[in-house]
Amino acid sequence: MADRKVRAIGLLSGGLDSLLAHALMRAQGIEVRAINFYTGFCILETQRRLGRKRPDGSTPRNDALQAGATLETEVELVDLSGPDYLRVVTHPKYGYGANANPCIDCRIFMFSKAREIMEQEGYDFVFTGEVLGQRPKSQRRDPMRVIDRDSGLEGRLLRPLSAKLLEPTLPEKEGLVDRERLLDISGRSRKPQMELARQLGITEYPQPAGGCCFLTDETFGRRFHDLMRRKAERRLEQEEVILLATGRHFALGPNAKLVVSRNETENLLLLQYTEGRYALEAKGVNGPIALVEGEPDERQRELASRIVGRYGKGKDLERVAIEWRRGGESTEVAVEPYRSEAEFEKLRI
Amino acid sequence: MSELPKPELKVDASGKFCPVPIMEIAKVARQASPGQVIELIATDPGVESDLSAWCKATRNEYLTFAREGGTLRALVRKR
Repeated sequence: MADRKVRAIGLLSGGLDSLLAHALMRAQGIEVRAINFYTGFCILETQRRLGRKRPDGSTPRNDALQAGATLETEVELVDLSGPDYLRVVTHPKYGYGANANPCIDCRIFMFSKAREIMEQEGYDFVFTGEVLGQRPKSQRRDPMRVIDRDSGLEGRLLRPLSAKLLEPTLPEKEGLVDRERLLDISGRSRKPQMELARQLGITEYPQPAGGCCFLTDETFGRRFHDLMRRKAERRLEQEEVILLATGRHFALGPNAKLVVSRNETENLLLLQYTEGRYALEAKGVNGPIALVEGEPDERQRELASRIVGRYGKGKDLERVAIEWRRGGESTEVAVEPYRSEAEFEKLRI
Repeated sequence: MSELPKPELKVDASGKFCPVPIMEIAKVARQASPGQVIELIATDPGVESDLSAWCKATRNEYLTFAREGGTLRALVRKR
């Protein structure tokens, strides 16, 4: 083994696999700098923004910070959100997974950032908690090779949980890491990891919950692809990300879309994004705030008004007046609210 | 009960949500001197558990936490 301090950057999502990878590296005496990347597509952030609770009534927790507490290691939260990351999302070289998830490109982007830090600050290698065969898009052998190559980390990216199933990396060949103490876990079962956690005395770790990234969410993905089809230029803004994750979405037509809030918190949120959009609200009865993007024609204005009426307290009234506001101007459309959601379900995005 | 120390540094993360408030206090803490007290103001309802975990991980001292309406105020002493 090396006769100097070995230093590595560990990417810590907060899930069990990344916790174990950190524990394994520290057990080899390696100095680990734990990094968690923030992309701006975090489901947890939106849950907090909308005041949502877990089934037990508690506020959803940040797994990476909890993992840091478990490991008694500071987790550095590195902000990757911004135009460069949004461009990865809108223009993935390796395409999308089942939804709007450009997992291979996302990993290349993150690992490139980790490489930059490694090179600038003299770390020996980067490691992750990835497990061979665990995820269909990015954790197979061939995509892993692509990710290693395109991130510039080829040979310097170690996956301690599956290392014995993969080609030895440079830190293993250089004697910085003892390959014999690495593992050969593969596949989707978590039993080997749970047994290892038990052996290492790690009792607190999150249960798998389908990931914390909106890009893997089916509804978000559908809305994202719909938005991209609507735009002349394939671009995504941060406020569009927030709106894609909020409310009920309906396609009024190719050039107009309706977003209807589901509760008081979403009402307040949508009111922050009225600039350049119509804000809709029922007059004289309580109901949701809604936004219309684009330039709806008369028929679409009536359609949107009937939907907004349906979700308010006036849904059983013969007619409800819906106020349309934009840029200081206000008009009203009086409509009969839809009597059931089934009547406009086909418009849902 | 001893009086709480006056904060020398302040982070106002009102209106920002996880993980941004912790990113902001971490940035200030990196520049702070040992013993300095930092006040975090936030509206994210989950910041209490985040801050507790962050303090445990960084060994910074979590002095106090209070809610005033929807606003959360916490004091942390840099180790």
